Amino acid sequence: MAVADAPRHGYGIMQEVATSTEGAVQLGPGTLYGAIKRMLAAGLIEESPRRPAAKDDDERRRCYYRITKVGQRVAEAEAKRLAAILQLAMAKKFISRQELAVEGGFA
Amino acid sequence: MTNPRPVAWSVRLYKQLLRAYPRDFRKQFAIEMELVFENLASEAWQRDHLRGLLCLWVRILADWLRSLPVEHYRDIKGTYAMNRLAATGSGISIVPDPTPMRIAGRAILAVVTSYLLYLTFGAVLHISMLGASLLWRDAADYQKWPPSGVILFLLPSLLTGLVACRVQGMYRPHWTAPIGPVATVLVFSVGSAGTPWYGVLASVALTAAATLLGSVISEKIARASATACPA
Repeated sequence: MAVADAPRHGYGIMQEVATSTEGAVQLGPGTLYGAIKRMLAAGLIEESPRRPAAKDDDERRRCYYRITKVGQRVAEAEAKRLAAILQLAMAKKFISRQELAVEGGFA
Repeated sequence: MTNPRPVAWSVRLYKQLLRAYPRDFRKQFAIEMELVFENLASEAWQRDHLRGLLCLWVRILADWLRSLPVEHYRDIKGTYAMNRLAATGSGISIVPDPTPMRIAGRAILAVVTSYLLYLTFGAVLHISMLGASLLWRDAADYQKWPPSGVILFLLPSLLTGLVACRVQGMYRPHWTAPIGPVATVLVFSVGSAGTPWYGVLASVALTAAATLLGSVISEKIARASATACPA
């Protein structure tokens, strides 16, 4: 999901994950690139030929990753699956709509 | 801009830690991982100097310890297992009185059996020893004519490699490939009285060479064919 809106390099993905989870998930390079390797193999993400203008050599050596169409569909299916579980949890009163709004930071 | 000395040292140390990852993983991601670490280290240093760097190292070491076995397991599952498979084929196909028909028959049997064993028991089982336990009685005959080992180990290695590539979609030669067959030959030698030491050495050398050659040739054929293995 970290590469859904724009191509990102490894460090960018780490920052995006840390920001979107408010620091709760801090990926290490080993875990991150292990996941990238598997997602590349599964065709969920791909190396992006388009990248922001590189400022220095280090930037040029970085690889940018973007989501594929298959990855997009898998992410949508997974989101729907999680939403269905959440609906069930609310129906069974494990969590209320108000609690969900507070936990998720929704208005 | 040059990094402060502790950051530069940390990057150098992390570069050494990266060497512990499997070769393919390193080849694909080591440069990027080093750059990511450099970013993290610079950020930690700017935020909290030495304390920040130490906190980062705790996180990085935990990540390294966690991801290292995972990547090695995946690497083993992909590459090493296929070589064990080839080794099993080699071990099982040893025959006391090699005739072309028997070699071919045993080789086909070895390939099928190896693949079934691989599917049943998973990736890292040293099933090549099965060949030794099944056929140790043939040892004395095998030792009489060590060159037969070239055919006996080359052919099944080659066939198993090709089958593995077709079915699994990948096969790469690995330096560990001869371990199974060599162990098999050693077990044979111990089990057979009166085998001269140079006979054992010759068998071991031929076995290792033939198995490696079989692995390499099967990879080359697989790459050249339409269903070439992914790198």
